[in-house]
Amino acid sequence: MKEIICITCPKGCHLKVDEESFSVTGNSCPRGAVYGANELRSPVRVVTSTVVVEPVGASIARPQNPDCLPRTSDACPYEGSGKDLPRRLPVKTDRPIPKGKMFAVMAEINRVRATPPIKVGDVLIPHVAGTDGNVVATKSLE
Amino acid sequence: MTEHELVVIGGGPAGLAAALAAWEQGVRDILILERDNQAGGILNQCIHNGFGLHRFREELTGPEYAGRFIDLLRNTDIQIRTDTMVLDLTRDRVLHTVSPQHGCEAIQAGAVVLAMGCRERTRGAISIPGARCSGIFTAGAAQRFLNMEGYMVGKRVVILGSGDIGLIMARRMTLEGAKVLACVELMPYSGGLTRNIVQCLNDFDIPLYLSHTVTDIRGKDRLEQVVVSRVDENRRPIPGTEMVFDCDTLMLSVGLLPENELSRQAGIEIDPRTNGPVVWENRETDLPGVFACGNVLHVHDLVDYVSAESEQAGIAAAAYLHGNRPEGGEIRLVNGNGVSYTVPQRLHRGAESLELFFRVRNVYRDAAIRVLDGEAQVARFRREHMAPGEMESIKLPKVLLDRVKGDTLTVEIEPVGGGVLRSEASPLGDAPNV
Amino acid sequence: MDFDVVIIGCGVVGADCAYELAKYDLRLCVLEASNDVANGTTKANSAIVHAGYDPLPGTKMARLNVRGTAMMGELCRKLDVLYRNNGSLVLSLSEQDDAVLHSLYEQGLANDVPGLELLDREQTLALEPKLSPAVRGALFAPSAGIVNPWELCLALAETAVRNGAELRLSAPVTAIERTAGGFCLSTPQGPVTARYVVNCAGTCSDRIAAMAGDRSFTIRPTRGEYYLLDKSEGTRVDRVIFQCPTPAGKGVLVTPTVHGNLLVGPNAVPAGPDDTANTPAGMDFVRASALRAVPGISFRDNVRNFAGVRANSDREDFILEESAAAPGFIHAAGIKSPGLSAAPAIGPEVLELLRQAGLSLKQKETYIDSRRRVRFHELSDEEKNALIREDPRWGRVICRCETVTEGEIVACLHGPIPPVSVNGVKRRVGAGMGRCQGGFCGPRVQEIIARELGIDPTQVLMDWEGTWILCGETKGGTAL
Repeated sequence: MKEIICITCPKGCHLKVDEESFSVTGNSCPRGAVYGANELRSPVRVVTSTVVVEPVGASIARPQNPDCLPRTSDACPYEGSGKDLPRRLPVKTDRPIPKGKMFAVMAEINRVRATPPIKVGDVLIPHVAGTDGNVVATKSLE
Repeated sequence: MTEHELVVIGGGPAGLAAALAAWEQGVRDILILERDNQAGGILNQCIHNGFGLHRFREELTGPEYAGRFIDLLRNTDIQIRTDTMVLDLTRDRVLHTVSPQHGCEAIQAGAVVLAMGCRERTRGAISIPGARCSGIFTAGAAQRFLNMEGYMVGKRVVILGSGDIGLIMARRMTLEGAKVLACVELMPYSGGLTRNIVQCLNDFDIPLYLSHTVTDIRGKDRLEQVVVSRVDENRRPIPGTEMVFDCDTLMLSVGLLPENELSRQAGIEIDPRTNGPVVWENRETDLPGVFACGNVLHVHDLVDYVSAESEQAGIAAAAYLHGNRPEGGEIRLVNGNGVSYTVPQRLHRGAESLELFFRVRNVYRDAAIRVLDGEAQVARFRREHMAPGEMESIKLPKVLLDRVKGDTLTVEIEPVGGGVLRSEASPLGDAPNV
Repeated sequence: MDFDVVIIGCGVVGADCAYELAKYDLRLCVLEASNDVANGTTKANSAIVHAGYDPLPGTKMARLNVRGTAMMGELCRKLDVLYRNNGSLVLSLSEQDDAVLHSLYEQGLANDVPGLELLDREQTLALEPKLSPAVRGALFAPSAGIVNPWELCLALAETAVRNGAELRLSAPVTAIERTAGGFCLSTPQGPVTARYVVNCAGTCSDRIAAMAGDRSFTIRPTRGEYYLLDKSEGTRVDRVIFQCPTPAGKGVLVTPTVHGNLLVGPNAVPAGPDDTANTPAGMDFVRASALRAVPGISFRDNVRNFAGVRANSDREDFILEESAAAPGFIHAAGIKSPGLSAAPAIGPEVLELLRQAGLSLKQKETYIDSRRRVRFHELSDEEKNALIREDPRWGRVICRCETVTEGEIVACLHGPIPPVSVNGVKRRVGAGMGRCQGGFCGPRVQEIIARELGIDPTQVLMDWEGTWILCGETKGGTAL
């Protein structure tokens, strides 16, 4: 039996999950049972971090998977004009990845460099750390 | 002096949403004044996900959430001026501003939306004793260094306060290679969302010490040790319970305070419980034509609620500019048993509807929110769970409001089943050592 | 000999000595152990200009306090230092206090303190309505005031530097050797030789004296703890409010500061020479004592706590003399309270001691006896716009609490004594002094310091050596 706290709503039920059958007790709604089983069977997390921004000329990872091409938003025109490039670009995995791979994902994020222009949703690392998640930009840089 | 119909002070989530809502209501001359060099406010450094579940039905990061609003803004003629500080707001809505591009400029506004946000409580605000070494950061300052500038503030970290910013920073610092030794919380319950306790602390085996506080800070130059003690039910440290942590960084996540210096200068009435302006149901302050929304009004847990509230303020500012001003006498909202504050604090008789935000004083399981007109119950809402860290909201339709006869509406909590789980005062209350 | 005179220590006493000596044709050097001036007792005290009724008549303390206080206004005007002559009240809260007030009054008359007046309860409350209703009367001293102590020190030191004095920071004296006709001082930056040495080393002045073979006094450092409250509390009282002194010291005072905050403190406990920690007991004591005099103080509006160490000694009076053990070695030591008030008079006193010790003094033909610093938020819109047109950075507000712009920060980084730390900038222009305590502007100030001084942001310190802020870059940067 493993005890975990349910996070599907603010109540925070203390669930008891059987490690073999994945049966759940202590939940006060069906969503808790689903959460408890999944959290034990295959816990997943979204990883957010930043990557180093390098000026033009350095190597750049452009979208390689057409399904992950940039979404609508263009670079923000309201960024202070004339301001130096920001030093870091915020990124995330575009879907939850296995919890046990968080640090492997971080290791790859730490190695990659981004060069503007970049749009929200641009893929910086496809299939990060062998998962089906991609590391994507969460901000546009001109 | 230049003139604008609507001037919004602050280009964070509140200001952007208010400006967009006013635009949609037909206001065409809108100026947003932002003191930082880009729009988006604090969302720019909140690179974690979890924003937008209510608003966009998906999980966004802070920059993405801000980006959605900035994209909408691009399709309007709303002007935004960055690097611009408002130094003064007068009672007849003249704003004195300064910026590198425009120098000192006075702006006459038809209406004003206050959306300046909040700031963090500091070591001084809670009077933590100990050495005056370096290595003590508010969580937000450390977050800016880490997420925007790309610098680590330390390698071995203790966090005081279990508010969401502190929890989020525990995970961020761990992922970036620091060792987070402990998260220390004065209250017997966490001030943050359960989800963050699980995913930011438990995932990384970071212990959470409830009913503990930092009682000494040691270090000649840089921080070397913090001492953590258990506290009694009066939040006083218990001698003999000291634990010593060898660390180079103490991160403070001990509460947020609305930034109302401009509002105070303008003589706007401030509610000592929220530290924000007293407002009517349309978020208008006691200074006609001046509205307030977002964290400058009261500290929110979720940016989604900030956007919703700010749209109300934007719509009301547009109505004011179009000459539609609410009439009807005043109904005052009273904090009843278990309620620490309400926003709004005032209501016009005959109002179309009332969306009421408030916080409870205690952790409740199975309780009811009651709204009373004198002794008579106007409405009652059941809740399975309520806590001081989670803002509550209820909506009262016009049909109920029209029945109110008295001059006050009282909001109170009635424990039903499990009743009061804990009866400690709100974590928004007094500083521990003062 | 490298120098005619070397001053050890650049707190307000050392800086005033430098300011006075720089008026003469001398090769003059100031050695400061820390990386900035004003970094010891000078930056953490009550910031009061005392009227001068406390010291015993006939002491150097009494004479120099009254003289220094009389000089303070003109000095601060010349050197553009924040100062306000707001007067002080010593309160009587008991029958015993009444007697103490009378003896202070008599002592003040004996010390030639101008304008002293004994007030009854009504007169006292008329001046300061927010005092405790238990107040029985007060001693009013119109010559007392408040000053920005670190700016006074900085202004004196800058003026000395502009007039040719050499200032060496991060230059602690580690050994002193007597040589033919003078002294050789060892520092990590190399040896320095001088004919005369002035010991203004504050809480370390006994150790410096001992290096020169003089063990005639011992410093007994005494720590005092303070609360600095938000400007919303800054008008609770208008004057400096004392309670009756006890043998332990002048007691806990409540006063506005020249920046508009409210300052409350100190207690007085023995401590190490650099032990500036706050303690729960000390903070409790200060709070409780202050509330006796001014009951309404809202300690919820505290911005910052700090503690300062005063250079009390085993002697009753200031130690201002030529060392008997080491001729040519002048002490300006044991400068406890009212040292800040006396400081403007200590420089001339030391000058006289040097003259008596044989130093020949010839006045310089030109001496720049003025200083100006731009306080952006005090300017008119026209003046502000003129600055912004010249350099747009004057229009970019960095510290929102105190309205300090990038232009002011850049200017101080290119001033006569450039700061090397975030707090060094704070002491010069006020950025980070406000209610958010640098939470918002700290990172930006750090960036500006790094840019202007051409150093890496990780090298920018919070304050003195060793107070690093950042340990390195993320993503495989330098120090990680």
